[in-house]
Amino acid sequence: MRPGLRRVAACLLVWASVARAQPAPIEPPTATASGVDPTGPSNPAAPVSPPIEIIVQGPRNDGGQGFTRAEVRQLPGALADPLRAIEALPGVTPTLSGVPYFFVRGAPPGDVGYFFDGIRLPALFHALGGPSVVHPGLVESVELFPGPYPVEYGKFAAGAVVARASEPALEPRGELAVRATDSSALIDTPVGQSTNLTLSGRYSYANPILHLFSADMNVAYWDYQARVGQRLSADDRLTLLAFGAHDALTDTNDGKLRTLYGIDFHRIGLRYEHGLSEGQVRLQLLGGWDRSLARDGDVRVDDLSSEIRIDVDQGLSHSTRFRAGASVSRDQYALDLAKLDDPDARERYRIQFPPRADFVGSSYFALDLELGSGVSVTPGLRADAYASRGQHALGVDPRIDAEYRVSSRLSLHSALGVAHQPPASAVPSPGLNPTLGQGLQTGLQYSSGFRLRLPSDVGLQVTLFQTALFNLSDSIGQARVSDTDDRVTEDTRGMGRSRGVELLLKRSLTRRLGGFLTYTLSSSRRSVARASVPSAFDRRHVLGAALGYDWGRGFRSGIRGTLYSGIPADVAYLEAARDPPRTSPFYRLDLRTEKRFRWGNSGYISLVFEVINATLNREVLSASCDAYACKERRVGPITIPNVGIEAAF
Amino acid sequence: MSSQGRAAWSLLLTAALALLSGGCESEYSLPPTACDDYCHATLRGNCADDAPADCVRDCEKANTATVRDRCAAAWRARDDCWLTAAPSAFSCQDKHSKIADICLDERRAFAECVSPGSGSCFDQCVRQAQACGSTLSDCEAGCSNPTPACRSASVAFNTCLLGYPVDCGNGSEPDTRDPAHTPCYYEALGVLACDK
Repeated sequence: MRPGLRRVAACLLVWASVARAQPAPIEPPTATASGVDPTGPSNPAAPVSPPIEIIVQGPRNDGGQGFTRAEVRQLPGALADPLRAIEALPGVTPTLSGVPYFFVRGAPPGDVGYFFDGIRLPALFHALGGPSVVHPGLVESVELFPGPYPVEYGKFAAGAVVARASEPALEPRGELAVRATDSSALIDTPVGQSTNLTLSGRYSYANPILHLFSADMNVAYWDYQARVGQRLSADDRLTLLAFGAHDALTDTNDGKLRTLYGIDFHRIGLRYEHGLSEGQVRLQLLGGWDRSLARDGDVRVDDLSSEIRIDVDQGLSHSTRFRAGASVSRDQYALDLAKLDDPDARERYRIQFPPRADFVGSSYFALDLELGSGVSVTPGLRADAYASRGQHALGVDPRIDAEYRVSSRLSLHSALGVAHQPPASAVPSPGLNPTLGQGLQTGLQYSSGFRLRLPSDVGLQVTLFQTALFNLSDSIGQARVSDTDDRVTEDTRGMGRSRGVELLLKRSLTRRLGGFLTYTLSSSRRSVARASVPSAFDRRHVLGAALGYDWGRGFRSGIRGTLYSGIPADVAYLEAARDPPRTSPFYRLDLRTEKRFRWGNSGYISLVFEVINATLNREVLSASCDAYACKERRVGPITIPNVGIEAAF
Repeated sequence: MSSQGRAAWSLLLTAALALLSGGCESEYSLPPTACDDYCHATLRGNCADDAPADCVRDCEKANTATVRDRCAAAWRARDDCWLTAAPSAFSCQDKHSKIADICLDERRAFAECVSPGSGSCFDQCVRQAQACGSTLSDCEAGCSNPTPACRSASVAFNTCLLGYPVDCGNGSEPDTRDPAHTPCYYEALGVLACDK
């Protein structure tokens, strides 16, 4: 059966016999049943009943690729964190190891949106390459949509990373992880017949370790998540979700305390879900508060946000579904420059991040069409209307993806789409969102490829892609132009284009022997003020490979290698910048080994040893060249060891 | 192995070969310019913050194309001298390469070519560097700046200074001396008036 929301009709007697043949329980997150006769399995002699309906729910295969939480647990270098695992996917170009800013198919970090349970995450990771701001136990899977992405998500010109929340547990479960730098815990439990409560969080105590490297620096971070789910009836559910995070990385320079990285964000959402005959309608109210400190803490930006949103997903026939939705949001920004002395910098912040109220109205519509003969097509349209300080802009984003299942093993897929986005900060940070200024960025994306199921449950996916980004705000990517042309500033808009091929060969990491091989060959360029140069983080080759093996008796080990070619060097002449020398390639090895002790039916305690960049390789930060030689600046080694205890019940 | 499997492994092999071959990593695509030569000759301290591209950019800003063409011979002679100097003549200051006070004749000739008459300024810089321990290159850079209109005033001022002992006075302190007892006071006024 093709992945997606499908309705399956089965007779009670058939269901009973299946239940005997396969006693393994259906996993709660992927299947819910309604109308099942509770006496069914124990009463096989009962007369044939009317057909019952079982709704099988699972993620649609709509162009995304990713990992489940179970896989990520076995992935060396991911620290059991699904959001950290996205850097292993094809199409993702890292800036630096452990730095949570990725170029995706050539698009800058600010043009890729991160969503948790449908809610945008304004930050992804804690400071100093720390863990993600959402407890891993609350994330069922993470999917990267590097190209045209589903119309439910928007306001980003390039791609989307979608973290799906785990379903509320049917039985109490908990997780505890104690590490050298922080600890986290999660508890997820039913309360009574119709209520579920999930609480999780993380708290850091990394200073003693940080002081070994830098006595003047201090770091503090924490995050929390709380979810209360209330089933109102068989078809109605109410969920209250709150989450947030805090980060403060400071140092002391000439007696002055500087904030190198300071953010806070909080979200609270109330969601009502109502089951329809062939789908679901969802209404959500969302409130948020974001805060970022910039320029050593002398600048503070606040964003008080609110949103109301409705989504409908409904099957129209056995071959047609529609998805539609609308939202209205308001962001009230405040800017505090009281500590900033530099008048030029004050002016720049006032122009780019003024106190204001921004409004966005959005709507989308998509159809999932099964056309027969193995062909399925999903056309969609999204529109976002922006208003900021008297300026208005409208982004209309048509998208279409198509799949042709040639055989049970081979399918071809293509996608084409447009996406719009307001200007983005060079480095995304909560609340640090510029005004509309010179208008929306526009992304035009195309991808095409095939998926092939090989023997031994190995899957191969190859995708060709091409992306063009217009009116692009990417001061990092076009740095090689601004370095050589004084007319180009960080506010100058440019054009980006990238193309390449991605390869993913994978066998689930949860198998006794599992692993993957990823490879991206790409070229990403920026055109600004009639100059065309490679993007500052254009890496032609990115190769990743991982292998995990279950030795039995609770022992499991894994190794992962990452190799990427160099970035363009800084050169003085624009003519040389068109095809500049490159920095040295970089590779690293990550290791993970675990001994798991079973505890009860489903609980366990694990001793985990994991290290990112076990080979202690130093990474090249940049290079500066003249006609005779290049001089590279290196950083690191950025090595993150992790010795921890994980427990779950 | 099925044909689909063979196709998949062929693709993998191709990708691996492309990667192992180093792809299409490019070399520097322009022939060396005069500023490339200058930076190649001067950034020899192997210092942490030496940045050849920045050096070339600064060099281009400090020396117009006209100057580089007109003084090509003096430029080359100065670079050649630095290139043949011992590595010990290059050190690091604030993580940037610093050149010892070598190749003085070539540097003076270059300064004189860029700005005729600035040889006296260069001589004064050398005296000051030797007597006060200051950095010759910082002072030297100022010698090539005077506009043609100010050139004569600058020459008069520096020629005058050469007739007096070097004054290593604290530059940050106001000079409270009587003008009549300040060497080259009126020549200095001439330079200041010209700069306005």
